[in-house]
Amino acid sequence: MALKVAYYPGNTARAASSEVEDCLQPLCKTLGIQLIEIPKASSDGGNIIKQSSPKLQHALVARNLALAETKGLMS
Amino acid sequence: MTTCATSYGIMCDTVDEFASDVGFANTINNLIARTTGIEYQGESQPRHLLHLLVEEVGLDKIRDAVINPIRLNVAPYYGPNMQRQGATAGDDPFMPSYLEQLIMALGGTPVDYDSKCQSVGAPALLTIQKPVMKMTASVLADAKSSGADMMVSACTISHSNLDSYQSKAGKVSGKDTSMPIVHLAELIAFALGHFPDRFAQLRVRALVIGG
Repeated sequence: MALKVAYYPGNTARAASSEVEDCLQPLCKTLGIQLIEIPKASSDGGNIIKQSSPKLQHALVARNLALAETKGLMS
Repeated sequence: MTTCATSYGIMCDTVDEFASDVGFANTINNLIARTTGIEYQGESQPRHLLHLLVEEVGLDKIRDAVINPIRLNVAPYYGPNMQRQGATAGDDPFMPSYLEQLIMALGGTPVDYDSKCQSVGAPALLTIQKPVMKMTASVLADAKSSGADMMVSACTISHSNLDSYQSKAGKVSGKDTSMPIVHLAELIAFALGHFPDRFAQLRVRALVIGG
């Protein structure tokens, strides 16, 4: 049975390091991991936003985790 | 699940804050409920690709699936975010070994060096570039002097720092920093037989061209 996980690529995997995303998809297919992309996920602030607003940083992260929950995914 | 140790670290940070301070959790939940109409209940837990592979998929399954063993001296780089409180999963926070175990399962030889959890200062890259370049150079030079042919990073943002900025780091610090860097996902994909052309290029870069 495939292991189902919510997938959050992060900012870098979709921008500067696209090779990470290229490799992740086939590797998960081989190992039987089903990646379910979190719908409408946003940037998580990357600890950079925390320097000016810790509240916004936590809100961005909590929103992404809450979106994963709406898909019924635990990790 | 995420491939980035920084993303993973800050997710764990938020989960910790939510668990330790209910008032704060309510404030944040009100905020996201106003904008998105949902709340975080604490059921969905963050995972890093490395922890997912070692703990849930299992090293034996990965070892059996290897088609092209790595056969290089690989320096593991964790980055600091995966070692913060509550973010280490079942690994040892002071002397992590999951990445070493995974490298061995993929047929590579892990290199032991001191800076494997040292920060490369990725979030400050745009604001205080010179110290960040020196931090990056010190990790690379340490791995190199310990006999590594290449480095594998468990963090996407540190990976781009170590990789794309390594020549600049070398110029700023005057240290020898030239080394091929790949992300964890790339190394596993290569060992499992995906992208053999890219893997061949990596081996040529590491073994023939060298540092």
